[in-house]
Amino acid sequence: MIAYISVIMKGITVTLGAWLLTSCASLLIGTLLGIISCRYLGSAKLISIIRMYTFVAKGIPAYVQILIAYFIVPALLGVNIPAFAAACGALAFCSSGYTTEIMRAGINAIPRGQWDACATLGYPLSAQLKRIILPQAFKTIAPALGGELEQLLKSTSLLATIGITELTRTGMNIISRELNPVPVYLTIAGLYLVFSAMLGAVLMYSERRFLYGQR
Amino acid sequence: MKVIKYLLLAIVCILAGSFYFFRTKSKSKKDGNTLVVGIAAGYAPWVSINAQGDYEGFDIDVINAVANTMNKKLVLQDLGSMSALLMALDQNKIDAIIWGMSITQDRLERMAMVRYQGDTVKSFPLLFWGKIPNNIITINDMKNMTVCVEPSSSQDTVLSKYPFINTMPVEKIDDALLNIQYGKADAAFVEPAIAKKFKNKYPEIQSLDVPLAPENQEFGVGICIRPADKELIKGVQNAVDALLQNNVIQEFEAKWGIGS
Repeated sequence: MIAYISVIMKGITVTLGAWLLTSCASLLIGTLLGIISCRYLGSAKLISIIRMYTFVAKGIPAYVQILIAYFIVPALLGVNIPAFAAACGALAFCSSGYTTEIMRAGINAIPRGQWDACATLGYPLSAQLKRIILPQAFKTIAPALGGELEQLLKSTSLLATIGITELTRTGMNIISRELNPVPVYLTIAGLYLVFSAMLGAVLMYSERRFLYGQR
Repeated sequence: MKVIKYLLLAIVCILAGSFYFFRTKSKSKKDGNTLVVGIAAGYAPWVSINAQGDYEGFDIDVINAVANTMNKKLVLQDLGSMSALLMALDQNKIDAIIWGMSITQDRLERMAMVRYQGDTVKSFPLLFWGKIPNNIITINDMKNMTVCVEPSSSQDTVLSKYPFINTMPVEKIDDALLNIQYGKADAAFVEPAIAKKFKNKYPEIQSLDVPLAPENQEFGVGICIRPADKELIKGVQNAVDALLQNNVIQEFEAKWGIGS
């Protein structure tokens, strides 16, 4: 195993890189669509379009979405999408479906009076969202969002299906050469646990620091 | 609502820009003097990634030699799995596949395969961890037993003729080792080259040969090419013939411990 440190490090880099990209995209798209589809802002037409999107994103397994993004979408559009971009795009598309729902539920949980108070005080919509609505919504949805981000970290192992050598596939390659599955799989499991623990710590810190105002 | 409109516009612009960027790049990747070959690492000694992070193996040496002989620039594209490789070949994303793929009647009906290694295989080994149970003399004695097999492989096709055997699909054939070692499956049904690799590492593995019907026999290992690419098939065939004649492929076999 020691001999393979450099390839394991490469695998870790790809896994964490893919996770960072997909989680940023997922949070951005999810927040945007969650805001648009909340019951105080969205028009019926827009809400139904977004519901259709979340239905598709949540209903198709991420594995199939990756294959579609890599093989079918480029054939339809006549472009050549690199494997990493296709896989990250598909994972972001899939995860955004969940973050949209989480975000929408969080915003809908804010009492109507908060929106009315903002309107009475003459706040523009951007200030309403930034100063009043989103901070309160985040407080409610932080655990669910954290769970989605952790799930996304583990889903990066699906990148292997189209040949991206991320952490799990690096392990499979080592097994194929050395035929020692138990120690390799245990090492990979240990590494994922470390990343999950680090992510968990960051989420807990953010919850305390930014959401509950504790220091 | 203005903020939201601008954000949506930004996302659409980013997506359109990405498509334009990738479209421009894709044009330069494939040209007449480039041979784009699909592989899937994690199949040692045929194709794997070494400790330095480079592709190596018997297939990598062979395809490098083929590309050199054809005076083409070789581009390797790792696609991870058999299904992805076949889809990529179908969609013209790659020119050929090299992945220790056995030549079978089934595959020859769908694609051209240029043989570069191996002889006709008339039996597949059934691997057991430790002793082969006394009551098992042939595969017909394996009623209600569980056998690991790689889905869509030649072994899978053969096993489907024995409906009384429970098949356990494994994503990677190396996972079959875990299953027989920990008693999750009674046996594993694999390629002869894989059996040789497993037995070299674990001498306690025993094998039982299962004779193949003529339609299931394999005719060596080949490079897969779309049947319509007549010129490429001819070029690869000529290159492989030259390499075999000059004993280059035989030297690679010795280097990677492949063959008899």
